[in-house]
Amino acid sequence: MARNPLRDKVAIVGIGSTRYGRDLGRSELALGLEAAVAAIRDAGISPGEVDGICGTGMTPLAMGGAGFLSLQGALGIERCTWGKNGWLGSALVFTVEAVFSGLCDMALLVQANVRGANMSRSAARDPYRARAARYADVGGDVGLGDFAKRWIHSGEPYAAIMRRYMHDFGVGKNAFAMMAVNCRTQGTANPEAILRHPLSLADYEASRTIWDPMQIADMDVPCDCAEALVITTAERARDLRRKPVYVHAMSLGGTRIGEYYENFAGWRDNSFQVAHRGLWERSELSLADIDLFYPYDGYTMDAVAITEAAGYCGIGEATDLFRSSWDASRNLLMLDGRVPVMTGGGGLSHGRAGGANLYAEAARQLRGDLGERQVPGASAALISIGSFFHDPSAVVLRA
Amino acid sequence: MRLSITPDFAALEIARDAWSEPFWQWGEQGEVRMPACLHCGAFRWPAGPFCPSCRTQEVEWRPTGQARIHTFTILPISGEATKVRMPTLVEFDDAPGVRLVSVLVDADPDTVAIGMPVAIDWIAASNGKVAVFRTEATGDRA
Amino acid sequence: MTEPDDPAVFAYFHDGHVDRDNIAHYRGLMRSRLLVNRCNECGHWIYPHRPLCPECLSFSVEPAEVSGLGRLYMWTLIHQSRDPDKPLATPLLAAAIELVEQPGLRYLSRVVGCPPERLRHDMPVQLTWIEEEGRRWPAFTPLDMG
Repeated sequence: MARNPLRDKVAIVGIGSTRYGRDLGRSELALGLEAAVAAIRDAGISPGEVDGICGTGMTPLAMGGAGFLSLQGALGIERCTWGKNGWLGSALVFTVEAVFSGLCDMALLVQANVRGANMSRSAARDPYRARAARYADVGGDVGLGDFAKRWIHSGEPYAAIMRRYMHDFGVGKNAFAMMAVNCRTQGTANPEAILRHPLSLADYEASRTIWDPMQIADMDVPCDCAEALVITTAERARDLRRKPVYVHAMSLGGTRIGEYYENFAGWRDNSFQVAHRGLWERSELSLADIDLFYPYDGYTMDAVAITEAAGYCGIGEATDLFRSSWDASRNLLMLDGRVPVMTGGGGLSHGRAGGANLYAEAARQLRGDLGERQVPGASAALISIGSFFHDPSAVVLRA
Repeated sequence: MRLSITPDFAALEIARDAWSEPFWQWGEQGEVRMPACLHCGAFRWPAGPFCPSCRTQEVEWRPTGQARIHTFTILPISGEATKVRMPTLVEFDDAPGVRLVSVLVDADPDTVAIGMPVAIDWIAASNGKVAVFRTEATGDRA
Repeated sequence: MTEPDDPAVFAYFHDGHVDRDNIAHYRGLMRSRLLVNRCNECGHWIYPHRPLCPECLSFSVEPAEVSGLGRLYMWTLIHQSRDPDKPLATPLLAAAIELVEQPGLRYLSRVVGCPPERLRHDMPVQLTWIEEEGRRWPAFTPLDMG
């Protein structure tokens, strides 16, 4: 066992989400602020109680976005003793670690997303998205024919990884198809999901190929949205109005591949594997205790690899697992016959939030807030967000 | 039939550094060589100052043998029905652990498979030559 | 005078970071009006251009014209631009002007029409407009010399 001194010592006490839309006509900062204010109100605190902020992105001074400095200034928060930016799964881990360490007591985590100018023809025509892209901190021009560079900040290698997966394990696309259909089915119960029309396995098969062999149904939905969480100590959480959701255990997962996508570490050593090994070495709860599972679905390839890394089946065995977990009457996955996957619809249906919507959905489920799509009695959730290469996290939240 | 294109590398500025410099110099001569650790023999790629296995600095630039396709993807080109881009990752018979990314050129994507041997060609960029892959040759280019 | 539409603003400020939260300000500059966001609920002035009132957390925020009166809060004399090969023939006076509308409401601008040695902290200034490479920009000039 690895050490886990932070077990159940830090809690999510406020959740705020914006609407999700292809074009909400708002800046990234405006979206982030709306979610932040909603989370602060949900927690029942005043903005002045916030003393730490994790903003969106990788660059502290990136302009125009929802970075921690912009957020603090716009919210008029006088004093913060901790601030940082993050994205994907690591952002929550950073925030929890800051509260646990004592660098702050009441942290605000804000993840805002706007659909990039390179995401569609209509997005490319939008002058706001084009101008924002000039000041973005990651992405932009991926460089002529320099594929070594191009593959660092692009999804294209995931298509090649998917092809390699099918080759190495002698499988077709069934696992990817079932994950895509499952997430869409879950999303039909979420009024905020962008894609709410049902998707069948046949629809998946017929969907447009984007990066062969990856199809559009394998990819999350680019959108405008923001999510925010208020995170504090377990002691402080007991005095607040909302039922706390505790962080039981968590892990990041770095590999020696660093940022070099093309040098994919392989099925046993990728970031998802490292993150889950780190998690289960720390968690007192095990997979059998998990009631809700949120494998990040930027691409279905991520979600399939995360399912295997989590330990629901062996590496390369997701196809068999999903076949035996498939409820054909409802087009849903139920792992071990009882664990729903990606309530709310995730990135594939609800919309691309860099995984922040997975944390928010899991926390709301564990509070018992979700009305029609509430999973009765859910008391522990596994949320795993990130890429094969960077910012992977594996987190167990519990009620 | 679709065919994969050769991207225009003429304006590309290769990011050469002290550790990768010999790679580009061997490339000028039309040969792929990769850095192997002088202490433990492990290849390291991307090239860097230390062996990721034993932290030794010294390397020897060794021939890599036959290149084979590890995986690839096929990218459509807007407005082109018969042309595609094929980013491709190759491995080498004599350089275990090394994977090199570039593009497969002049290939019919429907005939390409993982494991297929490829030859390496070098194409001029602004400050050196870039390796690209071809399927037709057997790879025994001396 | 009709309001310039969004494409006109993007074209005019082709090298600027125009976004949804500040475009009204840039649109105003094209018509020689200095606009700063103001909260419709509590009247608080908000600068830089942000969509939320930090005083009352209202998103009902609207750009409003300021009087153009203020005081010189602080300044610097820029002798060289970011490109070291381009020294400036005439130094630029960059300043933070505390506007009379609200304590701490400081607009970042230029000071013109005043020799640097006559600048004083807190001296009264007023808004004026200058032309530079075919574009119109706000600047401030000493009140008693205006």
